[in-house]
Amino acid sequence: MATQLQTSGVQVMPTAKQTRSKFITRLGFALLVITVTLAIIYPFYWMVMASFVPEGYSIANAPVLLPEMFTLETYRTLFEERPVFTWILNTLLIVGGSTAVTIPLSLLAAYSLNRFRFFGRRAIVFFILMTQLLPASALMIPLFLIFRGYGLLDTYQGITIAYISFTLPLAIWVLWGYLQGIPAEFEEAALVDGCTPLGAFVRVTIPLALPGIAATALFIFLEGWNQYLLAYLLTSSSDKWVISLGLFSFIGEYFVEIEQMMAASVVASVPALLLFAVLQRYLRGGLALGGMKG
Amino acid sequence: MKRLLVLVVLLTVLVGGVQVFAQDAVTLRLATWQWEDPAYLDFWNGSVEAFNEANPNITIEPFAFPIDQLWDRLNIEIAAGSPPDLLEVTGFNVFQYMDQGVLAPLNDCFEGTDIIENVQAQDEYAVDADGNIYALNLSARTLQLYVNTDLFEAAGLEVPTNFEELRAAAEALTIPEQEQFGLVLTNLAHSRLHEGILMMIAGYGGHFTTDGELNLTAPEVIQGVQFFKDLFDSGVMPQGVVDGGAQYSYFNSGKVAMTIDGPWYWAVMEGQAPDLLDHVAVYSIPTDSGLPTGGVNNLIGIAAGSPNFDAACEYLKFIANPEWGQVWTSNSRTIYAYADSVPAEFLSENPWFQTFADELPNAVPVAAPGLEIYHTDFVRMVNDKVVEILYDDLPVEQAMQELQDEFNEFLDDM
Amino acid sequence: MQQQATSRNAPLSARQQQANRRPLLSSRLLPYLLLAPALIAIALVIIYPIFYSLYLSLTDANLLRLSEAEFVGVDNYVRLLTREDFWQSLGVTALYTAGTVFFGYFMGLLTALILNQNFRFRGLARTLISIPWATPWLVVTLIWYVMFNPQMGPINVILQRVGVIDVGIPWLYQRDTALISIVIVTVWREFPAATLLILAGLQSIQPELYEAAEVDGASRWQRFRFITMPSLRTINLVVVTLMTIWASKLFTVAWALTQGGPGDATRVLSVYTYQEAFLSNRLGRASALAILTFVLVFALVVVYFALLNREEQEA
Repeated sequence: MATQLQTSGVQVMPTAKQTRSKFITRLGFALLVITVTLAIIYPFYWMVMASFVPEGYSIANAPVLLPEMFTLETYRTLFEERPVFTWILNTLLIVGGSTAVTIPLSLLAAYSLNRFRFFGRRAIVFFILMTQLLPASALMIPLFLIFRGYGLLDTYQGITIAYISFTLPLAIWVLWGYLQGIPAEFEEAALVDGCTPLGAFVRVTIPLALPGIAATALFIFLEGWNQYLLAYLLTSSSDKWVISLGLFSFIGEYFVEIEQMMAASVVASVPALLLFAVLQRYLRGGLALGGMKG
Repeated sequence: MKRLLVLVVLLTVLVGGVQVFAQDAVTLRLATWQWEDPAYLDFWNGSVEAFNEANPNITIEPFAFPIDQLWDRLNIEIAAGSPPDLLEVTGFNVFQYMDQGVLAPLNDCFEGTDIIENVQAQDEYAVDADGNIYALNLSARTLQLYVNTDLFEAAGLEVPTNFEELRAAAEALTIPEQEQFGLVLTNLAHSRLHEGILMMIAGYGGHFTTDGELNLTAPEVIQGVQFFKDLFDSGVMPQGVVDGGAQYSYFNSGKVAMTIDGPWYWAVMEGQAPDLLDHVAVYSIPTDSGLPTGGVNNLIGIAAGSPNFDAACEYLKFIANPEWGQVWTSNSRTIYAYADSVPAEFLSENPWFQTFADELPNAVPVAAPGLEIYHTDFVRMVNDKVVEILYDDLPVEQAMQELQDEFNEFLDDM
Repeated sequence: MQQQATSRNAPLSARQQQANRRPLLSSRLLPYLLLAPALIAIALVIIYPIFYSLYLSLTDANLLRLSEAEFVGVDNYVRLLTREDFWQSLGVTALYTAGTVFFGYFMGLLTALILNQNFRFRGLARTLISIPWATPWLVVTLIWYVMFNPQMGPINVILQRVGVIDVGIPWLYQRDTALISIVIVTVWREFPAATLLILAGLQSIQPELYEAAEVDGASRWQRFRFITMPSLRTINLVVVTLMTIWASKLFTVAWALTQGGPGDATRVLSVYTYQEAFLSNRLGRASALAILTFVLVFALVVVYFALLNREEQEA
């Protein structure tokens, strides 16, 4: 009788040996997690630590870099010696501008591709996916020459327009994926109630999709923040530098001040990190299927 | 929807409108990699400031970029139709710039001035077959041996005067337990590596070219490269020295006995390691031939296609005099090309400079004779190949043959 | 009654009748009209440049002498495809892609499996592991530029202290280690994306499958191999494809860290294109390279769609 009860799946008290081996497994697992996490964030940790030490200190005290001397001096000299604010303002202006243009265009396009069936729809979807995959190096030469012909080189407008070349397809794709997650019934109800399709779109879909629109805007803003090659080619005056150009100027100098470079990196990362923290929630929605870019 | 559209249009117009503010005065851009260099800061900042004050309708703006980005940035700017008006070039790639039509002829600019008579080698250096002068010579230099006298005295050694002695001294002065090296030279892909190799080749009396043709299998070339490789392998020099900055930080630490560099290094040490200076002396380069590499090393030109040629020319005339020459010389420790640019006290205050002054006439040109217009590409190819020799142990003779073939292919492809 | 007409068969209200008389906004042209602005923009900043590139690739245009460009037909393509440089660059790109995809996927899988377990600081761990992904590319490059410094970089310092090496390795300056270095940097930055995707896939696997297998006596490894991996098939495909496409586009890291060097050790296609265009000034040749890159990406996309279609049909 007793043995029958045991094999029918009733919970049995664990033996001492089982408890110990489970503890070892848990401990091993914990160690694994800690090691992996530490290894992954180490470079980031080093950057942050190095930005808060005086110049010359970080190299002498690598690798652990627990600073006895915590100082904001490096940030002060950074902002004094280099126009970091200008870089940030330029980036905000350009990326903000391209986002402001991209969102309405992509919203209309995504809505059209999603809610209507028309000739050529699948082809256009495929086509937009393709354009999103073009590397900047494929477009850089013609964009450079075309802009040169129109006097758009080294202008805020020109760089903003160039940014649209990669934000627009991406935004369409992401919004398309997001709109797929919103059932069409809401709009159909509005249509029946007497709205035009466009009215339904404005009054029903947009409010529903606002989180997705916001997420898309943040997403392409993040992409623009990252952009380097197009900015490098199309900008001449150093007073129009965006943040990535400013950062790049640290490399290849005769006397590189590492601490300053890390401080600049921290400053450049903060907006991106903030945006990312906000975006986290959306990442597993339609955005995940939308083909996130690198 | 509509409101958003209007907003976007307004934003674009606003941004566009900001660009429209025309400037009456002329703004010149002066491109040099030396804006951040302490050895040249005083000259550039000082002369630009003084010039701006003396010429209220002309403003000179710095156009700074790291020397690594020099070539492609300039290409982009020129292609964009907005080249920096004034550009400093090195004595080694000026020929390539001339060939590409990047620089404007300065003969008209120099007319009526005494520049050609008073500037050393002005009428022969950056000059083409038709007599067009393309740049104002700023300075010339050679590379010589810097010695840490303390380390030599402690070991009881004499300063080397040829290859054999150089090798012996370097080996004797390399003490791994004390993290001490005998010699530090750039040994990663950088223009200094190319010149370091050339030093050794010139030390055997040769060059990359023979009679204007590339000849990398010549015995002097093979011997020179092999010598560098042997030094590298024997551990007398720290590995992974990527550029001038890294080289300086080694010698500045006082733990390296020798380095080979130009006169500006003295000025750098004054800024970075002043205490070391009492223990440093300069000797002539310890190779078999004793011929140093160098020549005219800095020049300044006006970009072809710059709309501000006359204004730019004013600046050139402004700096072509002994007054600014003395600022250049006393700061950078390279001799400004305009006559009488060496302050009277200079040599007495800087006795170590004597070697540099004496050896300048013997300089072996850095740009390979016959291949000057390919200098930038050639340096790149040499560096890549030498790095393979040093770090991947590619045999020297094979490497030189490969390099020869690569370069010929490169020429075919032009 | 009439005000609450909700069925389409009810008589049209005045407003509805008015709506039907506005042909433009309710017409069958509407979707095209909505698409038009975006498509026009795309045509201007993408399509037109690509065709311009195509045109340039058939000339011998030089960056500094643009007005002298002459038509040379397919000469640029022939030269590219017959000389070693292109295939070398393609090889480097392929190696780089393989490296980043393999290790990126592996890291992603590892961390996703870890994060799939329930443990106390799981949320914190997930946030921390995502940090590389949130860091801008140029910042990533700068950090690792310092990390890899031959004399003083933390990587070398750690390795030396631990005793693995005696002398600092010039990571970015030797042929074999340079490519490894940029793979490391890319994997570090990109793997969290793989982690999140795989984690989503893992969390959608029904636990009953595992329980049933456990009762049947399956070991951990067997459960992993026969339940986890097959369920992840679509996600795996998505991750691998995304990372492949990212690798084919990469420019910033390879350029900023090594400039394609030493020599051509890290000269991926985008770097090669840049060098041809702005260092060698050969715009025609560079445009041909750009077109070839475009064709390769197109082929990748076609493969992606085909595989995805097949997955969906099997699912």
